[in-house]
Amino acid sequence: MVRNFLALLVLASLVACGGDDAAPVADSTPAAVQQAPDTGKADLAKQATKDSAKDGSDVLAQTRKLDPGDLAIVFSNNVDGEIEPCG
Amino acid sequence: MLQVDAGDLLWGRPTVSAKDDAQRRLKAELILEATSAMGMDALAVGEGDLAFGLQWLVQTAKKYDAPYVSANLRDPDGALVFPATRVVKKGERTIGLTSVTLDTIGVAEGRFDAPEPALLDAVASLEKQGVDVVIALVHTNFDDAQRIAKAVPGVDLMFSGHSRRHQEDPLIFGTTALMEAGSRAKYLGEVRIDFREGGTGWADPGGRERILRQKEQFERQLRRYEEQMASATSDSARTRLQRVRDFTKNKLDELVVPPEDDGNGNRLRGRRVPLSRDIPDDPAIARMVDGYLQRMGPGASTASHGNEHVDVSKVERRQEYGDYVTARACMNCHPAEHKDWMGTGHARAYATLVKEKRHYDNDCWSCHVTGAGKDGGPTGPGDVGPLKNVQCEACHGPGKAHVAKPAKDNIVRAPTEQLCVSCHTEEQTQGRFVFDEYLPKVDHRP
Repeated sequence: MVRNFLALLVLASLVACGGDDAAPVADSTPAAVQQAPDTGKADLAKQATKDSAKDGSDVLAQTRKLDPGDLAIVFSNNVDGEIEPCG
Repeated sequence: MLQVDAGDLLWGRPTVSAKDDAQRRLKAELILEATSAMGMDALAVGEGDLAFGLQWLVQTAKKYDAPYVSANLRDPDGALVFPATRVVKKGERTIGLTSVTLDTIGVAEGRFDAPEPALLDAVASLEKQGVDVVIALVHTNFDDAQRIAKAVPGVDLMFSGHSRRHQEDPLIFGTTALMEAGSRAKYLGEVRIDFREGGTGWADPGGRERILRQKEQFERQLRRYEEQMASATSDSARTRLQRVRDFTKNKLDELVVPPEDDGNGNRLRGRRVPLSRDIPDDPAIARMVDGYLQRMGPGASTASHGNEHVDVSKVERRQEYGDYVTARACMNCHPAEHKDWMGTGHARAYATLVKEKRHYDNDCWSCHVTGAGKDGGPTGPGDVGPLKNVQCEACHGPGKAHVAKPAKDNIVRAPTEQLCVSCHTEEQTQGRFVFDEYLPKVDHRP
């Protein structure tokens, strides 16, 4: 979301200070499924997500917490000129 | 901390339509200004960054001191447009940064060289400069990024862009780790590194186990789909199961199981961070956004940004909106449905936009009004008039004929999913919009 792209600076501070616990990954869609943005695959992704939830083993939905390291890197790509959510 | 972007920061396509050009440029400038304020360390060039022309990018990057690097973008004279490499110091570490872009991307005023040889040269240059870590930003298809990661030695970390893929778990090829952060800044990728004394390559603690668990999960799902297919009673059910099965199989085939940690690799852990509203705005950046919104909004003159769609002289001047009659007309015969609609998010769609000061934003306004871009409907954010919000006619179609002669066959009675997803897109809703689940929120059938 993109208002928050512009909050990168704040996030950068959080990361720098080791403030990891701020950001749970709430999305229950398996990341592997989300990797298919094309519309034709949307229903497949939904189906696979539902099946994954039934399975009760959606390992990628787990929140990951990182320890501070020697070097932290934040990266983005394809921001696509988005500024923030419309509303 | 190091901050990098792997391209298409400013826009997602190689061109911009004439009506969007002025606003896009404003946004692009805002992003570069913010980038500068954030102290980003390196930016790759994507086709969207070149949408306003190479000269524009060069001049604007210079204006905001934006740290573009590219080892393969050349001007018509064959000279590199941006530095091929950049070296920054982070704590005790010296980081070497470089970038390459897919050479099939066209550049009106220049060209991209083949990425692999350019990257080899850049890595050699960084090694000569004695950097501790080499980072390459690679704006290519993900398959190409993997190929380059395997083919070009000496790159420690590779961040790719262009394919809009989430690759939270680093893919490790030899001593190179490859990651990607999705798209449209819905997530930010984060990776943390612990260097081991004399360590070579990478070890992702727990990564191997995570991928193996995921592999098992996909395999289990595949078996289930195959069992269901065997007992399916109709061709359509079998076809659908086959599609889901093939989709899952592709995802299974894409998994790369990291090697076991041999104790020599530097520790690397990645995650994606959802950039939700829980993360507060930075005050300085928020001021920049407000300034941009003011320049974009109704108080701005057309001359300041050349966008006729925000010309205030056109606001609410029209008396007729083609065959659109507005919700008020519908209410005369359908008061219960109108009352029901008033309780929905559709009835407040424009207000939410105004609250966020985004009602003049070409990325936003059309999904918060009725009939945008349709015959007789609003032609731009300054031409919305009485068609604010997602009114009855957004779903049921223009109502003029129905009002003149009420009948079941001159109004859309059951809007399709296709109509809904034109605004509730997969990307916008992050996959949360499921037609069958959302329809009851706006369904006012008795």
